[in-house]
Amino acid sequence: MKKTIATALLTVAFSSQAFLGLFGDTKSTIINTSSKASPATTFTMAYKKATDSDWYQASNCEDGLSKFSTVDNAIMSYNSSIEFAARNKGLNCPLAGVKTEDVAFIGYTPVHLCVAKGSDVDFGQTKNHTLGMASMYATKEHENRMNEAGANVTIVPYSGSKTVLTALRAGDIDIGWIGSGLAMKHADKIDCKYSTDPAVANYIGKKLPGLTVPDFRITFVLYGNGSKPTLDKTAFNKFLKSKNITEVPVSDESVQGVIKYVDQMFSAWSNKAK
Amino acid sequence: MIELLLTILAGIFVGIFTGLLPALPVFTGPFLLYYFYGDASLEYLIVFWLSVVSGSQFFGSVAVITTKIPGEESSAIYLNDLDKFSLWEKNKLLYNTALGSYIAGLFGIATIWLAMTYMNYDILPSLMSVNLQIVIYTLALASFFFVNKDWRWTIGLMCLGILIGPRNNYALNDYWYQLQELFQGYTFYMVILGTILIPQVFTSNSYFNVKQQKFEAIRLKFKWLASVKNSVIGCLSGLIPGPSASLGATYAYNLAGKKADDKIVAAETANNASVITVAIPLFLLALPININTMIMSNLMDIKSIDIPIEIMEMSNVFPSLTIIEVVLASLLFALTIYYLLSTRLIDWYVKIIQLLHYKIKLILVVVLALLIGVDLYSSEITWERYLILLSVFTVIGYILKRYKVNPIVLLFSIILSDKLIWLYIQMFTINF
Repeated sequence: MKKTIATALLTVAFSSQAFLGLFGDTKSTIINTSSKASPATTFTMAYKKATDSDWYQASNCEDGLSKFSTVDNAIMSYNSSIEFAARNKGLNCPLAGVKTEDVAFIGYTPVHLCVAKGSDVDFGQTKNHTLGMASMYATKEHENRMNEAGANVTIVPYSGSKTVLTALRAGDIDIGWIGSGLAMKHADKIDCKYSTDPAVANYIGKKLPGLTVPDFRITFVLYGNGSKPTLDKTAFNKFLKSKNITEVPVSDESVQGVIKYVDQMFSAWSNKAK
Repeated sequence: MIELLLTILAGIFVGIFTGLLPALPVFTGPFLLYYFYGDASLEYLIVFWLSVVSGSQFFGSVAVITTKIPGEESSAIYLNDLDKFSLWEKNKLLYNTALGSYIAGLFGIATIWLAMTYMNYDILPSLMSVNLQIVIYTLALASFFFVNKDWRWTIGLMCLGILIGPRNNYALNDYWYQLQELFQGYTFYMVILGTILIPQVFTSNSYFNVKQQKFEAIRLKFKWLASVKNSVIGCLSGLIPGPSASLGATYAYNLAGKKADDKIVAAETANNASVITVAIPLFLLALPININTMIMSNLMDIKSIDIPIEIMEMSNVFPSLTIIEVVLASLLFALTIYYLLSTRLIDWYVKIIQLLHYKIKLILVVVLALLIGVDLYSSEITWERYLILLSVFTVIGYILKRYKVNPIVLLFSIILSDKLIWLYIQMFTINF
């Protein structure tokens, strides 16, 4: 019996450790805190590819931070939406405390507000419309803020932009809150009437001036605890362009800007803020 | 040409490997592609992916019939039926499931070709409506209601599955979300290992009879009409969002009459068709409808490939054919190889176990440990957390075994509840 147990333990240890490559690997390890099928994971995967790093898939952001603190040459893939969602559920994964010199990248992408092709649905109409969005932002407070601004919508939660797009095309919802890259890719199937990008003509802030966080964006931050890996800039920039992700120069101001932005989202939309 | 052939062979190798090694799920193919997608073009990616998923289904049935360890999740439905079979019956079953799988594969290929050629592109989105999905998934879950004699166990297991099944669902209230967090990171194979395999290996002597058995696929009588019916069920189930192959297997299993061997062949036939036709929404509308296609869709996003447009373009390998035609021809080649291998390789595979039969208990423990090791590697959690969760599921498994309760209800409640809870939340928000 002892022999059996010892063999089993050795086998588990060998099989998992051999696969995990824990025997003297010196590559950077990129830590992904988003779920495997999310667009944020696509971003992290592109950076992994462009830097030839190893991969760690965290079960949630706290697990990711725990890994980050125990591994050398780790790179954390942070995004503002994950921090907002985590805070809203009582988890703690702040960007605050990260030193600017450890930050390798900051970038953001807006979302588009789309309707079915040819639909005349709009915000502020007499009829209440359904607005589908990822569940992390689909809070009652967010719905209240939108309706205070005159949107007249009921927010419906989905697992992410892709399922919102599916529901929009199936006719389940009237308006979809869809990540910019995905919306642009399906531009022939849906009409994206508004964007949260303040730089464009159809900025949602112009339609609903009283909206809180009208310039909504998903902000990606990559920071490390060791030397920065060599980046294949051509490949990575090509990816950023395809996903409509705008890179921001790294500075104290831009890092603090992300922290303030998440605070602003939290105080406006979180059920826990009051 | 050579590159395409090598891609098919690589797909066949990985497909056989993932089918025979139970811890590797059917979406191992697309996961591997994450690491090797580099310069591969669309046709190579799709050929590799479909070859792997088909091989995983083909050889998953070989693994489960010979060792009772499910090579893929859709085989889980008939695990307990295998106890009723003699070696002779299992040998017949091996041939019939292989031929059924091959026919189902041909139906799957034909369905994709017809869909890509004649489908009205406007119809499919309406099939994804929340109300229709709710009906389908609720019926699927309800079909397990009569698995156990005591309905209270079924209700209890369904409730447990519904409580812990959701993943990353921020729409749940805080208490439910925290409960979900408690179980965050469990894998489907962890549930199978804990609730079925570990209690089975350590409390039953049925595994130790393997040394007495000589497996070989035997052709006697094959029900062609039933095979066509089950292939059609599988092809249609592949279009249902969620665990399509498992649903296809379940429907075909329940509709196959009372004989256990017919039911098993039906399930294996249907799931082989499902894993192929599940690609249709992805090919037509870039819509992923299960984990497998979701990962492929993600990969396409990384490479900025617009599948519906690019898959109808002309192939680089055979310029007179479209990419989809090359993909389907390659899959046909792979399926033929699988059929030939799965009716001839069995004895070799089982002999590995027979050679070491006198230490079969030790070997099974090592196999289980290997499965845990590989599952631990592909899971998202630390080994400490993995072992805690596995222990919890193992305790549940022992309790269910002690009271002779079929754990399959828990497995499917966990799988289906994630999707169902999203759908119910959406339906209530939209309608009320």
